[in-house]
Amino acid sequence: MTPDLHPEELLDKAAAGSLTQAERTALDAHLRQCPICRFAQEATADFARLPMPELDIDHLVTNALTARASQSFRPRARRVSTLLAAAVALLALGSFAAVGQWTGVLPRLLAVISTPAAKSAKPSRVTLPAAPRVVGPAAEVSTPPAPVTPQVELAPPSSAPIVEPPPPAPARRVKAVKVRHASRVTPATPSGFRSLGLGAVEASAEASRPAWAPPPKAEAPAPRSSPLEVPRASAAEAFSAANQARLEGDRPLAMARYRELLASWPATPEAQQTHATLGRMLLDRGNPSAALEQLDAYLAGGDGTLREEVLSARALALMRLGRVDDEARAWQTLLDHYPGSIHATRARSRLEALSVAR
Amino acid sequence: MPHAAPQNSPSARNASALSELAARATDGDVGAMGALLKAVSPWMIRSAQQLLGSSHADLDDVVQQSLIGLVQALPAFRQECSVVHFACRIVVRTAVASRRRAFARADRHDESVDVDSLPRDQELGDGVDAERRRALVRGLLSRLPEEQAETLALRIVLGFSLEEVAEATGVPLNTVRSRVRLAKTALRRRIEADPLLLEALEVES
Repeated sequence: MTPDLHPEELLDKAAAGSLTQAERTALDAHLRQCPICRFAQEATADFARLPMPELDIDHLVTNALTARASQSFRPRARRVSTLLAAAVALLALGSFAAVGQWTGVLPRLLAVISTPAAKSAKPSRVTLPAAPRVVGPAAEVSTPPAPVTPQVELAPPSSAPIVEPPPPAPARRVKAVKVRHASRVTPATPSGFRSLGLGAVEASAEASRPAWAPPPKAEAPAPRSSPLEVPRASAAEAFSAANQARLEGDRPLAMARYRELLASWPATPEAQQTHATLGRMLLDRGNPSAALEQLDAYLAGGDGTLREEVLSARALALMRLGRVDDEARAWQTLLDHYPGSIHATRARSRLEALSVAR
Repeated sequence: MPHAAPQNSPSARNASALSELAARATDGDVGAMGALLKAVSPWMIRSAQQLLGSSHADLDDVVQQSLIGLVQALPAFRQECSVVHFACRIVVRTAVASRRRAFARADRHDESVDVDSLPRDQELGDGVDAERRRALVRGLLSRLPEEQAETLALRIVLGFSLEEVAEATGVPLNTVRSRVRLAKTALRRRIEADPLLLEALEVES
């Protein structure tokens, strides 16, 4: 094998087709005696020849926009790590209690705490007398701190020092992405994301809110006098559960949960998003009539986040129902509002076909 | 429905249009965000496929996660590289992390089977040697230090030039040179350690 010196600039020029004759000669000479550069060149060409995979771009983009619209997503790995941390803390507490009991520190601590003076005093730090059989530097024990209310970071992540794109989220799978209501999620951003200020999937809901996204509406909790007035968090939880089922591929369960959300909290923003998502799912499952109902409900709600997608899906539903006049109007509406839409080509093509047919 | 494979980089005109879309999306234009995601997703899908393989179980997940990552990362985008390269870098980091997790899981179960090294039906038509080369490079992504793996992925898998790698990763050109050199050294050792591979790949010592 050759020494680890490779003419990377010449390889770049060769890829760009801008080698001079002298450079070509020099590169050829190197490639003749460097199998690694030959291998790398061939491998790059091998990767470039791969056929494009078939993935539903619209669906992927809609999911990403929905995740943005819901302002939060947290993969299962985060929950697992939180549980692990809690388990470790409990183990540590248990160990401390066992050691304390064994050495006699714990009864003394409890006695000190239970005295009236101790009860009236502000708990801060208790220094215990040295116990006879304590092993290790455990003579000073801190009382547990008072519970601290988690602070929600309201500043957009763009205010953080941002240098480069996020490291890949340590989430196990995207299918585990869970949508939660912003006010209920306050985990600390993992170091990788925090340093980058980019949030990605791991970040907490508020801390990861993109700078361009509008701030969430402050909503006062309402009494549970009717399903329409329950606190938004309940609808958010139902939405989260439905989204998780959908992302995990359990479509029947997801649809059941979406319907449950619509029945219980019809006047919430989550319900508005649900009309669009459920409509698309029904369309994909071959039920254009029910899909149309949901899509119309979304459009009637006035939310514009997914309007372009919904208009396109609505036109497809009408096409499958054979309502040609309505379909033509639907495509035209899409073109009027979104002339540069990714669906525009299809819309024009359908309009042309429909005009010929009529 | 199959999509046309994108070029390695967008044309200057497209790049400018994408930069405009990115700026509008960062300013809160939801429509621009949707359009941007749709415009760059073919490159992102393509990159994920090159890094993982056409039939990899996590392909759609990695693309989805990368799209979400792009939405979240966009406020940090300072136009120091093209939007497509920025998006591709997010895919690289997501895909490499996915491969590392899969590698760790496989390591716990059965060390003798590297599922990702098995030939893929869709790719076999391209030749066994080509698939072996791809499998070798992908395998290295799970083993190299993170920075080297990222550089190797951008340079050899996605075919970025040295300057493009430097712009996308935000590190000096000499650092990129150094990382490429180290990654190629690792590649050489990997090939040398496997006589069968050495023979199959027709790499002569």
